[in-house]
Amino acid sequence: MADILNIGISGLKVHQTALAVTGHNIANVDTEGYSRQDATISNQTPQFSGGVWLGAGAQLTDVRRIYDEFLVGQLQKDTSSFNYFDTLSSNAEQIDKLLADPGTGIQPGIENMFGAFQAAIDDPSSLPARQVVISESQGLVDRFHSIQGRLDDSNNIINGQLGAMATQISTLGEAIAELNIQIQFATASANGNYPNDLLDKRDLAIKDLSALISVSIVRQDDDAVNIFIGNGQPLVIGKDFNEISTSTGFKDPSRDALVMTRNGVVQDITDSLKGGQMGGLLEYRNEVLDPVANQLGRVAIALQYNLNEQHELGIDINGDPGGLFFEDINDPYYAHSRVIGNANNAQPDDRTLGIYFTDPNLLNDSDYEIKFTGPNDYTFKVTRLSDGQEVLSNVLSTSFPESFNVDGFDITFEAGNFKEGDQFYVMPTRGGAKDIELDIQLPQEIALASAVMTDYDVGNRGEAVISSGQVYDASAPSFQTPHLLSPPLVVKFTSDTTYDVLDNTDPANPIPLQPPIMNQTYVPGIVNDLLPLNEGKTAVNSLGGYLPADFFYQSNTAPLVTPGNGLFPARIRFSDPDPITGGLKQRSIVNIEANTPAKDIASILNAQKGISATARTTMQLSNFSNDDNPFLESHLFLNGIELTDTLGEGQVKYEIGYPEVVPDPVSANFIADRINANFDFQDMGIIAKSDGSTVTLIALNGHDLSLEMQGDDGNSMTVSNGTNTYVNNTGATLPKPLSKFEGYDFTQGGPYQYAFDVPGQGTFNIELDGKFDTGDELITEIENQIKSTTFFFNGDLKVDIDSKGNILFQSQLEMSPKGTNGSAKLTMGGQVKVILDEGIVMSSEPPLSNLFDEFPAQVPVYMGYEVTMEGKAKEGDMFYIGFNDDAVTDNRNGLLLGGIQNKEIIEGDMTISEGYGRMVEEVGSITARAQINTDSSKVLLQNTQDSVNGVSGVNLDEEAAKLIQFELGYNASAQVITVARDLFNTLIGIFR
Amino acid sequence: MRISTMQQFNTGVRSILDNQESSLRTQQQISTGRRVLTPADDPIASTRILQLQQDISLRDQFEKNVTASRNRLNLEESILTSVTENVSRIRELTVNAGNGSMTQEDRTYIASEIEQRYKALVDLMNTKDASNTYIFAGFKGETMPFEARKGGGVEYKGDDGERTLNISTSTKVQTNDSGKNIFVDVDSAHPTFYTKDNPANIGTGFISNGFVTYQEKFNEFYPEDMVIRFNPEGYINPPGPNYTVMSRSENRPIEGKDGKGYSAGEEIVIQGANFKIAGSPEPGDTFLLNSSPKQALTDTVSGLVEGLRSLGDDPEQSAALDALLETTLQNLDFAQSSISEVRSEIGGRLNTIDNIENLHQDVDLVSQDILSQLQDVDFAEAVSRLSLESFLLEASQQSFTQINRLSLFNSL
Repeated sequence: MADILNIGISGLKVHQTALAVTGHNIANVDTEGYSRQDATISNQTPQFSGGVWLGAGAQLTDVRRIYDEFLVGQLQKDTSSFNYFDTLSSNAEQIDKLLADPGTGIQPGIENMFGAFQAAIDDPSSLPARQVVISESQGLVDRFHSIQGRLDDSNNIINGQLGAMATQISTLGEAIAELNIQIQFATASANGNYPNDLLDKRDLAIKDLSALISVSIVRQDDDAVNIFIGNGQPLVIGKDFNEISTSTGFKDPSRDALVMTRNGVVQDITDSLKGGQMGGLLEYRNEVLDPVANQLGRVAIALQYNLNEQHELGIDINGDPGGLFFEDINDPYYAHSRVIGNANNAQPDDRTLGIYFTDPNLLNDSDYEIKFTGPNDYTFKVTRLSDGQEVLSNVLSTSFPESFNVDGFDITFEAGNFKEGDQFYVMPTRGGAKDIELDIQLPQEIALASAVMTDYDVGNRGEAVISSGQVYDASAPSFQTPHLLSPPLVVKFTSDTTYDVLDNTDPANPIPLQPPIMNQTYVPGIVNDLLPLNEGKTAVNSLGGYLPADFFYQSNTAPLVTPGNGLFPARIRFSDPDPITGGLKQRSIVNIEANTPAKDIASILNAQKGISATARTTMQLSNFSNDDNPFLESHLFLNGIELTDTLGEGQVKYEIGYPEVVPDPVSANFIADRINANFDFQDMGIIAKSDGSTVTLIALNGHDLSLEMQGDDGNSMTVSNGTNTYVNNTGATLPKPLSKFEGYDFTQGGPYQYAFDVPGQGTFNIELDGKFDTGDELITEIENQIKSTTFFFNGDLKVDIDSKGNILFQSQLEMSPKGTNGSAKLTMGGQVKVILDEGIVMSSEPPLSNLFDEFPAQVPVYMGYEVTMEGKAKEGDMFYIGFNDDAVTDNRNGLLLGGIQNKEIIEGDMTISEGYGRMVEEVGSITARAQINTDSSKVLLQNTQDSVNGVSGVNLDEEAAKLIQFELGYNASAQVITVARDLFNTLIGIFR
Repeated sequence: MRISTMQQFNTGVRSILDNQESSLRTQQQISTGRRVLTPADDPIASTRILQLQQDISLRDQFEKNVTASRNRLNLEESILTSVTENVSRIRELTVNAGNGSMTQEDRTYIASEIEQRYKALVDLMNTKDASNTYIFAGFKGETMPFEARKGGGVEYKGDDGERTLNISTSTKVQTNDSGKNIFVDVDSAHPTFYTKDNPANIGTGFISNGFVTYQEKFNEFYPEDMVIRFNPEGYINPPGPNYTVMSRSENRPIEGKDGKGYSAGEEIVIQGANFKIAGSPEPGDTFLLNSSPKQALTDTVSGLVEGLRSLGDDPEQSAALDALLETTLQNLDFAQSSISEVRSEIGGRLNTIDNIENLHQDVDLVSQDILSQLQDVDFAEAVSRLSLESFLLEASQQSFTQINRLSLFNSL
């Protein structure tokens, strides 16, 4: 009977507990992370009584949670990946919308700016149209800034979010470690029975953690879990946890880094973190935000550079040089902001580096890393981060600044002590959209016009058409003086197919350029470049024809001798740039023998690779005189051909119309006319020009000019090499110009200092003082002054003052024959002009030669602009190239500026719009991919969540049924007790 | 499969939210009319859209350039028509002046009318456009191109600039012609010359327009040019202002013209060329006399007026007049043909403009069509989609309430 009672009581107790478990389930139906619990009921150990085993009722053995470890693990993973994609896509969507929105995108700004340019091109003199260009350009700049501002905002938000997430992760880590302790304690104190609700709490904490970051979980034997993040960085180990926090970025201070503090050591774990919201944010920063900033910056830089470059080539409405349109992209302030030294670099932080763009059209949108790899302090490597390619490996020399070119920019090391282990983060284009600023202020300053203008002479007989010219380098010497072309040029056709380009500063007297452009070939059927192109070529001129100390006396009895031209021998050496060492590589020596005609020197040099040489010989004859006592008839020969012969009818030596009568003394006009009429000289390319008193003989291809003079010593003339040296005023300005016909008083004002340059000898100074009554006295004084310097010359010095009052002199040799027994001879050599290809360096030995300077000055040959011509020209035709004065309606540079809209300036194959479009497309693709991944990971997460819920979730109907079930059991157990009491009462009643 | 209560709720709510999201999106597409709302909706299409939009806006700009260049060319064309009319009238008057019955006095009247026409011509040649710039001045739009010279006649002050406008990415059209090209660079019946003060001069001297008096002598000298250079006073004895005339190719003094005494305004005749120099030139100043196979229209007409006024009725002058009239007629014809040449060029340019405009319109139609296909929503499809989606939303809401109303607890 007691057994029945005990059995009944055990039933009551069991069902009461089961009801409590059910009630617990019902109460937690909406608790997140709760796993439904189930009471396990078993029968008690039976008792052997009366030969049979009697049951002893029920007992509660366990309350367990219904739980699938695999599903819970899956849920954590899915939570992590859903949050990752969701964070990535929701952030990327914002950029995506920003770029495509007509109100904020760059595209409409680009269209508006170039549209404004077109309107200004149509009407270049209209200030309102120009003003619109400035406001629309400012509008575009504002759009760049506003997008960059949004990107910066986004970055700041990310920095904030990362901080908050780091705190959350640390808090969760701490909670998990605490739960580990509690669970271990609870399990131990309950003889191995698990504290279900604590386990649920810990699983929930791990799931919450997974939402933030991807974790890996290792369960320990002692019921604790260890949690690792990233590449195995321990967040929780048993009862310990490590704190995660943010810190200013090490590579880039604007991009916060995540660090784990472990035993007091701070470790940068940013790059290893994956998954969850934090992984999504980092991915967004790396794959969307930074590339967008870089690509946007690149678009801005390409626009800025190309527009500036073209704008600087033009001139504005006032004729002033174009200058900058946007600010200079290579301003040192911006250049330095493109490199950031790693925060861990050795102190003191004294290194200065700059990134200077050399060709933005080659830029890509990657960041770079400079690393001093050791084993010393000067070996470094540059890695392009987009593809991990090592693009440069070199060593620093000791001198700053030192530049290395990579992908369209120079890395310039400017100062500081670089140390092994130093790292620098290079972001060439990151700041582009932030840094772009308009430099131009006034509408007048927009350079729509081109600086050069050409014109043809109305007197031209040919039909050749000259192009209007195009400037390609505004920093060339031609544009040194604003409002002028230095010098203005005249293109003069010396025949139908040859032309000279001359300095037209004085249109009445064009003079050769320095270096000269003479006797150029013109081909009527093609487009001819009239001026040297910009190919980096340089020119060297030889010192010119050598005037000997005295003429050569040819005795009639001696063998016939043609004297040499007196030019020294030389050993000429050319050196090529060596691409490997960066230095120069010497070629073998070119030997020039003494007295070589310029023509032959030119052809020897022409045989050298990358060298082209031309020659031209000049000789001037003047002061022809004869005394009153013509003892012997005078005869003059040039290169063996007599110029003073008297020929009758039927001669074939000269053209019709030649001067037949030989004057006495011979005159400059006579010699010029005879030479120009002679067929042999025409074949040799020897021409002569007379200005009435002086005849200039020119051998166009550099033949030596050998002169022979016969007659008595009453005949004479002076010979020079045609080189005039100007003596320039370097002191006080004269109150009135000098004249060779008047005296001058230098005692008033002053001091009147003058200087003259002699190639190969240097600069000499003189000073004029005193009072001179006549022009002759003045000239004698100047002559004496020049002679008293250390200037070395042969022959006599002849000073002249030209009609404008400029002082010039020439060394001249008086030539006079010595009678019946012989003749006077003199040979004049020519000047060689050597054009060297880019990088080639020329030197000549021995020093103090009269052929070349030892290290001759290599003058760049290009002029900074080009002019072409086509069509048939006629001898004497002239074309003028000058500054584009008053060109208020010229739009040529404007057309080129406007053309930038359609020019492929990004990576050489994309226009600005295409470059921007590609960026929009890329962001769109990333966003679309992230959205799709979000959707699919969401479905996965939901499915897993459903599965977990299916297993562990509470079903109220089920619990209701259980309530009924256990209530029935409880009621029945109570009935068992009632029956037991009845039995007892019955038994007691028997005894009553 | 076991379903938990929470799952039952979540599933219901989720399907309601999903249906709301998709119907909202469709509603947005319908209300904006755009299928592609952000580039992420269709990255490839959105790049194409950007490109097409740029093409279209570029063509809009080219359309503006088309209109602008057409206006400019029409203006130039109408001015040239007036010039042609004036030249024709001058030609008629020239023919009349050749009538043997005319006396010098009669010719003076004709000269007066021609002079009026001449002034009208110069005014036309100095026409300004709507933006107040001279249309025949080349690039020097704010410099009056045909300006009276101190030494008489009219000098071209513009340049040879030809302005172009882009009317498509690959087509440029010239929108002006320089006055030099039309009115100055005109063939002449006989070689002639033009004079020029060297801009580097420092004195106040200036040279007259000049004319050829002895054509045969000048033809011999042609095509050589002259430079008249002023020398220091001491160059001649007794000292005084003097000049030297040189051939330009060699700077060789012309015989007998070295160190000539200068008196201002004196007529100088050299090699058949007749001109005057006035004012006070400084030593070193130079004046250029460039021989030329061309003669400016204004010089032809002013020479005619001068001749009609000055040449008398005696046989010698009468012969000179006949020669002048003949040359003038030829030169006027050359001027007419120079102008017609430019007019026909303008016609050609206007044709090009029309063709390009048509092309623009055609291409624009195609672009707009493609753009619409790419970015516009198909309304029929979108509206039927929206009604389906709202039906689904409603169904999910109803089923949610239905299912969740059932519970065993209701029966306890």
